[in-house]
Amino acid sequence: MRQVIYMITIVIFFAVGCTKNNYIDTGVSNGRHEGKNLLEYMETDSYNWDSTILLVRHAGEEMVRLFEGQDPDHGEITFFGLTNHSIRRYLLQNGLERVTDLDAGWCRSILLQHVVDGKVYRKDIPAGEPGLYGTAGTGGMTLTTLAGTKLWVYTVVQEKDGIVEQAAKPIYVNFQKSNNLFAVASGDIEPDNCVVHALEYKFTLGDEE
Amino acid sequence: MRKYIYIFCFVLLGITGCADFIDVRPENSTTYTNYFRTQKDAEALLNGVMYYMRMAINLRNSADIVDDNVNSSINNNLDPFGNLSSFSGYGDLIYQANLILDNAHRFEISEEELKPYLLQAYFAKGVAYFFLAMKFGDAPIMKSSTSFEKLPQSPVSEVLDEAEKWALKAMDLPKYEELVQQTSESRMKQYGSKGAAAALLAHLYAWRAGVEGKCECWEKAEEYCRMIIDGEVGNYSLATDPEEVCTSVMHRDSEESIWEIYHNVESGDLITLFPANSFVGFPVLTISSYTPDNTWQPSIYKTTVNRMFPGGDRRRDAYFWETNADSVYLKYVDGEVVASAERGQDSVIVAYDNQSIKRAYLYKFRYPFYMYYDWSPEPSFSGMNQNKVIWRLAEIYLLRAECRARQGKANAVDDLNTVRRRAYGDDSHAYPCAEDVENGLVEDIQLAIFREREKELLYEGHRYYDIVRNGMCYLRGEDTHDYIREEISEAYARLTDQDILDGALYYGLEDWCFENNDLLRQNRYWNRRMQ
Repeated sequence: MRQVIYMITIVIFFAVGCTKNNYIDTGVSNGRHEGKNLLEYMETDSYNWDSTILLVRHAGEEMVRLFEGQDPDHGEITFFGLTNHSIRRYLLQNGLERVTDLDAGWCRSILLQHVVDGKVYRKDIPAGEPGLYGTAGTGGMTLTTLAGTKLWVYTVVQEKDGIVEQAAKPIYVNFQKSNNLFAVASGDIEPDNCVVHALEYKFTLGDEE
Repeated sequence: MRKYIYIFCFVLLGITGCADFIDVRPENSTTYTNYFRTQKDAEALLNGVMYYMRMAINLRNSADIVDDNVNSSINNNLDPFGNLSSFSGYGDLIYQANLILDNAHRFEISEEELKPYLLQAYFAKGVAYFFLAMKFGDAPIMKSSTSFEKLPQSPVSEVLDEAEKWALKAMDLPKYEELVQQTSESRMKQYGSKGAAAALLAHLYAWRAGVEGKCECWEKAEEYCRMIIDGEVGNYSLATDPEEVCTSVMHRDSEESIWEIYHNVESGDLITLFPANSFVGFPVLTISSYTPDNTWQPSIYKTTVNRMFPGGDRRRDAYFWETNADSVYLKYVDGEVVASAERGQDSVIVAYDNQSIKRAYLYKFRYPFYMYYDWSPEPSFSGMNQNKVIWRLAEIYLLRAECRARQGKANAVDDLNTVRRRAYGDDSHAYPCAEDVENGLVEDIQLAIFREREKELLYEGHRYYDIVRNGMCYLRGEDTHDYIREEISEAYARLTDQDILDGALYYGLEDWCFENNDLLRQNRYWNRRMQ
């Protein structure tokens, strides 16, 4: 009898087992959104972009074309994306209720200050170091927006356990007109016509000027 | 016969005993009784005292002047959260001081060598009990470093008696200059000195007079102030102008400073509880989150600064940066980024319309410290790298003015004017001046002195205690200005006399204080609020 109990116990051990590793497959990071233009990509993520879409539409037909990749002069662009929180905070602080309460011309000028020609990937942006008060410092690169303003963009290479290649490489953007410095929360998002570097939620509409 | 010899031997053993054999000092471990021997041991214990002093001593920011109290950073709304605290920091300090005093007899050094350590311990206990009384009112009085029994609170008058007892003993301390000369050990102004003990007693007696209503104490407080001012307890002198107050006195180790709590990068505890820490921003902090158009900090507005410090008061331009400039610029000068109100011929990076920015730029504290992390492109502000000046000479002048005014002495004006003379650079604003008439201060010199303290000691942590000291005089009918209800916030304005008598101005105790001690009681006001 005792032998049987032993055997059952051993069998149970094997049965419950612990064969599954504590490994969760979260998939492969893929920012590429094939078959979608910038506006269509933004429609897939309403939490972050639905007010931004309204802002683009409110800013006029020309902006919609730009974001849809149909502007012949600016077929490929990079968008330093301002997200819903940035717009909502501005509305709240200024006692406004909806995006359409904003001046359409102003919306256009704001959006243009976030767009540069061509696709600029994270790998294209050199490492840099800001100066005092977050001013443009050494390294990095200066981009000119479609509005003619300057962005000083740089990455920070963090050493990770002695291996630089494995470390995060966050992107930072200095809007030189206002000298405001922001981090890119999520970069290298790539619909067909565009690369999106989404700005952190701390950014508020108007911080660029 | 042999039997007798055996018996004799046993008896002999019994008589001689072996107490001396087993009374050996362990060589490889420290025990409570074998530690206290050399001067080095005493110095180590004193280091402990200084550590706990640095941890414990801070002043409340509840009544700091604030126009925009972002995130309620300034704790002036009488919310239980932020008004509950515990005795523990002071308990640690008292315990450590007791450790020296209780074991004084064990040291194998001469009385002469031991005395400085005892005096420092007296000073520490005086300070600890005084701060306990100011912050909590009733508080436990600890018995010794070997007694861990539960203790109830003693009434505030007994706590103040205790503070007074130790502070008076600490008056035997040498003057600061002598303290430095007498030892090869490091002695900064956080250590007790005769001057620091006198400042402690001056404040303690002023508190007893103001808060307890013991009017005879005004005279004693005045006397201790006089001893400091007349140089009897150390060489202290006023800095030449308000600019020097910011660059030198507020920094560390100045001639004006009497007692300060030491903080530096090496000590690892930069001022986190510094009253003004949350006010410091542009241009002192040179990182992007503090540029002029960022508004997340609590702030004092330029209008308030201009009202408090009218034209001619040099403290305005020393304590605050470019309050009335039209524009302020970030620009390159010789390749360096600098903040300036002058455009000049330099290359401007960005210009800010200063008139549209309400917030004034606090410039009284100028020595920030940053940590560098590889995950952040900019350095991270980690506190001010400067000492916390608790008592300084200008403050003592104004305290003496207060003590004199409370006794109805006409010479209160002299001290008030000493501080004004430095502020204005001349006697043009001697009390009573045209502005005093305008501000209704001619009839109330006490209020004039309070207003001067408010300005001179801005964000140094005194204002709350000044309000309590003066406010209690009002409650007893000795003053006409209701400091407590008119000088802090709406929450304080709603306090009744009974609320104040029940302990609203003291901290309540945090929940955990009662866990192992059922003899402690929450004060009546906070007990009501916590129901």
